[in-house]
Amino acid sequence: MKRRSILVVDDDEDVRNMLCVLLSAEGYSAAGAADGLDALDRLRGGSEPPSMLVVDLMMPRMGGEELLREMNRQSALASIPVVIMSGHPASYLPNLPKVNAWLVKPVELDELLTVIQRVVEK
Amino acid sequence: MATNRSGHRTRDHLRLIFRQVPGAVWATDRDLRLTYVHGQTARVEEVESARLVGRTVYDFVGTRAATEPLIAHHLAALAGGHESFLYQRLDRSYDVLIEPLRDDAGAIVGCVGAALDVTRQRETTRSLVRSFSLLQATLDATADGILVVDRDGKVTTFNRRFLAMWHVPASLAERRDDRALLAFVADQLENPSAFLDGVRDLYGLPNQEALEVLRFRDGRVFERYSMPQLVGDEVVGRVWSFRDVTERDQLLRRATFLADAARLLSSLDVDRALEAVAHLAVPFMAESCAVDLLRDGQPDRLVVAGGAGDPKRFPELHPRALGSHSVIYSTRSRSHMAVPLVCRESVVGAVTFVAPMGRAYTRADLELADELARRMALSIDNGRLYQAARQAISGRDEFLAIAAHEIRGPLTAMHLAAQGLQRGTLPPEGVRTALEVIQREDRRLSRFVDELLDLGRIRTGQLDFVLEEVDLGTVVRDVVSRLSAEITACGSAVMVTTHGELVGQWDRFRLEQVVTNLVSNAIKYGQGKPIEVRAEGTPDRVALTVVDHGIGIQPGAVGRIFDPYERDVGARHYGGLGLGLHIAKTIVEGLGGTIAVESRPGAGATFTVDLPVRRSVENEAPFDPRR
Repeated sequence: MKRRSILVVDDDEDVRNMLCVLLSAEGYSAAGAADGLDALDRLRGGSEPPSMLVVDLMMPRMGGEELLREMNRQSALASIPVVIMSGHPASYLPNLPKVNAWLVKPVELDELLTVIQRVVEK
Repeated sequence: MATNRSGHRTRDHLRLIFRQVPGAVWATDRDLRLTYVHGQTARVEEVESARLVGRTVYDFVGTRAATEPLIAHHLAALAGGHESFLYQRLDRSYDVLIEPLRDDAGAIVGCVGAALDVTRQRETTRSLVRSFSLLQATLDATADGILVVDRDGKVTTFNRRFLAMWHVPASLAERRDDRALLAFVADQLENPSAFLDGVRDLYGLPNQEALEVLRFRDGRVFERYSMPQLVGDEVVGRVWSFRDVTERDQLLRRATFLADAARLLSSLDVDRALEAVAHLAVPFMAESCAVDLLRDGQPDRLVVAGGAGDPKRFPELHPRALGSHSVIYSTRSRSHMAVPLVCRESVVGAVTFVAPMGRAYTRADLELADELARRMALSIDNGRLYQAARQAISGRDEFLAIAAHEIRGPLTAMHLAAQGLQRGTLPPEGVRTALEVIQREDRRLSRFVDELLDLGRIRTGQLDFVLEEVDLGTVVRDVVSRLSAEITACGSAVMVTTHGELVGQWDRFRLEQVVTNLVSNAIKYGQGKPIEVRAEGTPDRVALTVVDHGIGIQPGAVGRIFDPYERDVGARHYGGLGLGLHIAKTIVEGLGGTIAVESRPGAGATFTVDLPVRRSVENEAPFDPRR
């Protein structure tokens, strides 16, 4: 994946597709994964890791929390920034590792873009 | 001359003496002619003595009949008799003495008589006798035992009730010995020495009144009231009054016990409350008390208070108690009681009581046990209701959380789409995508609202059907066509097969709902594997089968999968409220059919709907899914 690429991980197809469309319109290269397992497949299989992940928490097969813990165990993935997107507030999982930002659904597009820009350009 | 004067003085002295006598003295000759009369009698009769002298006794009494008592006794005296008798005349009574009057030679020359007016004394005596009779009748009629003792320790009075209450033999009572009585009765009490000390103290305080409660070894309870016996201001003895208050005492103790039990049973920690009540019952009601509760239809011993031996086996649970019957019985030489615990007409357990050696349970004991069991059962019911309420609240909270999640998904997608459109930076295909998302999520939200409304209709008991001729095969194909996008997205292939006559009288909209729910579930949980939908018809019935090969259902969840909000644990991550199957089941049953599932974890699920072609009674009342 090119630099400034974002992997959107959300089991809701419309949310996932819409985010990809919006991020593409803002100049990012966006791809989607339907759940944590799908995301790991893409992360391991791709030649270059994405600049960041936008991750939903509640997903079938593997949710956001388990995905993050799995990424933390693998040195190649541990450094990828992650923005959580969830219906729950950050206090829901206070000890979640490696979270760069936490946005509560329904997210404000401007806020999401601001967060992404800040994280990606760090 | 001197002799005459002496004689006159003697007669005057005698007249003075006789004047003091409340009666009369007289003398007669042999013809019963009065030769001398003196005394108050004559005045009372308003007849002067002088006028009586010279008249006969016959004239006095007004008859010559020899049977007249006064005449008869005079005649007897003339014959030598010494007569003493009671004579009634003109409403007065006299004690009369008549003796023969003899001359110097000893010959009887007449009679002398004396009469004493005893009218007042006799009336006083009669009055005393009546008073005593009334006192005795009163003593015998009262329910209290009465004992009166004088200052020398001699029993002066007691009534039959006293003897009965203290089991005193008549022979002991007649000895009238207070000390002997005390020695006899003291042993009947729980604390004889305290009793005797109390009596001694009271005898040392003659003016003291006292009220005390006496407790017997056999369980009886007396109230004893004691007060001095006074004649004027002088203490002449002591009155002891005993009242059997055993029944009142028992009622009070039982009421106190039940109040204490009720206080313990007010706790929402039901098991601990039941254990505490079992301990409270020992030793008041029993030497040991066991509580058994039915869990999954089997008795499970919660607690045994008191007693000895293996608590899991002793006391044994009587089968009649689990059959909803209270029973008194004997086993191992002990009296037992067993009472059921009944909640809403169902037996939920039993309480068993074992009496101490030598005590036999009575009907009154069983009534108390039943009352206690009623309160314990109420506590159990309250505990269940509380748990059900907590679960309902928890279920409601979970429902709200899931509903919020279900709504948040479509809102998030629509919000992103709307914001994207507003920003104006989307390319044409992006605009198209955004509009499609808005439409799709709008439909999704509408469906969700419809499910909620259906749930509400089910809860309030009204799910209306509009029956018309419907082809199930057509419905199945329409639903699969409508879900084609989801089918494609999940990667499953859906194969539809139909066989036989599939036309029936159903509600088209509701039937579509059932098929949609089943096929949507198969897509959702099918893990992209093939899905089969089969519709087979006979003249009277149709069968719809939806088979997937996905994650399957855990064994413990299969029985609950059609309940509202129920989602198998493995399916929780898939989201959703778990209403679809509940609504589908309600619709199928409303149409007179059945729905069932077979599944194994990891091997998918097979849902089978069996429907009659038409309901048996077409004009029956609207279907009430609450029944």
